[in-house]
Amino acid sequence: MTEQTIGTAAPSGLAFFRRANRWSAFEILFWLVLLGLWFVPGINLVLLTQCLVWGLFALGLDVLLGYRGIPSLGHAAFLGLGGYVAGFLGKYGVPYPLVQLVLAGLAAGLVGLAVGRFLVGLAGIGLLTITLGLNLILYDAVHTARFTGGDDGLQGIVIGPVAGLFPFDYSGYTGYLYALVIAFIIAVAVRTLMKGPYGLALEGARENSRRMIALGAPIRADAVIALTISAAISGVAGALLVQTTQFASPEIMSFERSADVLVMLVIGGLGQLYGGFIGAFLFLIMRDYLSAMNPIYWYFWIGLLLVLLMCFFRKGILPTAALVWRRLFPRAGRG
Amino acid sequence: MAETVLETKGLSKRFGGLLVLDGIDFKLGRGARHAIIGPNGSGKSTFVNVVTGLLPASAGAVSLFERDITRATAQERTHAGLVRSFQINTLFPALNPLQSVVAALCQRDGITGPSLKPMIRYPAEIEEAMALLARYGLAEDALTTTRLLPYGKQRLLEIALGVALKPKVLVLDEPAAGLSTEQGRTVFGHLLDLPADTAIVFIEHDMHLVFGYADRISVFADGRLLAQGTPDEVRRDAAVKAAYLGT
Repeated sequence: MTEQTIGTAAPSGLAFFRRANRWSAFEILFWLVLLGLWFVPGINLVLLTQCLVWGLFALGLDVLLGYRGIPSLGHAAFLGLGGYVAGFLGKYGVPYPLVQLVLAGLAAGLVGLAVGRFLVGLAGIGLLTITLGLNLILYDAVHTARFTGGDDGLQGIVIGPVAGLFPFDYSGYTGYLYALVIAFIIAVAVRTLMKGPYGLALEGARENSRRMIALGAPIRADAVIALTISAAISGVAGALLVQTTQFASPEIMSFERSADVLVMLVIGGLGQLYGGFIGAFLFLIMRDYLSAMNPIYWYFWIGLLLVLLMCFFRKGILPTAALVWRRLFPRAGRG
Repeated sequence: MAETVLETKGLSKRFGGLLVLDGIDFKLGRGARHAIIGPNGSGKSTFVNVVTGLLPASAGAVSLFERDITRATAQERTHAGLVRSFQINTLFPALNPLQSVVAALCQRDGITGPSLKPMIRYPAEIEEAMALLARYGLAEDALTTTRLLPYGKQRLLEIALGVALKPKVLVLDEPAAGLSTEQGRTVFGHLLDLPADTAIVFIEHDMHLVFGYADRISVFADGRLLAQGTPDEVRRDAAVKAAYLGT
């Protein structure tokens, strides 16, 4: 989705797609910095783990909203679903983190597939309302039910060591690296998918669904698949959240979480793969810092920062930064 | 007349109490260059929308190669070889022309659904897209974001996206809309380059283009087919003169 004007010579189509597929310096740097943070002494790895998990959650939403253009105000439902699946497995004798992760992703993905068939026929405000409604229904069900532990959350969750070797610790050494590896694997998978014909079809349907229909594209099936992938990633993020905090409560699927993840994705930038991560780090570190500074009025500051951010970075941080970068260094990134 | 590729029988479309199409019997021959003319509001665009499946028919039938497609989805019609372009540019604003045409070619070649193969692994589609863009004079703009292209070039891309699918029947809703006479001729020049057995139906208001390129003309008025025939027959038709040509 890069915006550029090329000079007079006819460009090469193959070179364009080869360049689009190549890892940029920014991407490599991004993952190296995240890895490097683990080695910084005294750094708050517990907070940074949260940032990674929320970044992954926002990436899940990005598949649906950023690439396909379908909004959701209920994505915390999938986060919570994955989280509770991991929690229940941990409580009832399956303490293996990777098994929990896969099953949480599968469960959330299946629910995404089931509701997707109804949801993709809707659009805009109606869709926002329905996703919000589904989120509220699930929240209240979990909140009131007895077997979920209700308001107090699920008690007695056991999370074993990762791959049987690395136990979770209170300083977050294991949790951070574990979350980083999972986030990296999923981000690479999404990247590959979005650089391929399916990603192009999603972007086409986002840009103009009527034209995609006229081209014979199965846009409904494509959208249901996007929602399924999006829900599965959100479910994995939920499992990570429960595993790294060893706790599952209805809060995980509250409406505020759905709004938070939307805000993170929008401030980071839609449809850029990394926007969700950038937004999550910024949002959560800002919130942590501001709530420590002023425990009562921090919502004021975070609101103000969001407003200022969106005034200066209209399309989110990543797209605006990329635009400024290309203006400063017009030759950079051409390959 | 040659073998019929597209046919409508008694095709009607009603919007609430308003009858917009009233029993249209239409036949399109193989390889025809068939113009549809008529005053604004005479039902031309609605006819195209119903034939291509964007709107459901209220009554009557549409058949393509003698197969009934009245209830087929727009996608199914496209896959059967019935392809359209739009009166108002219906493009992908944030994608570039190369991505747009490659997206079209992937759909045509059945490259759909999640795949872990990056786009670069489909060089045939990419090279074909570049060749098509070059034919339409868009090679230099292949990587320019569509939104930033001048209108005339967007219009060419609109046509190119339809042509990319290698249709058997191409339905063009005012391909030259908003273009200068010169640009309009360029567009129609490209259409002449299509394979001789591709049937083309086009709605057009510019009578120079209509009489210059069409070998058959249908005249719409008030949702009905007023007249149908060769350009000479239509030019001589008294009813058409009275209702439309004004001479």
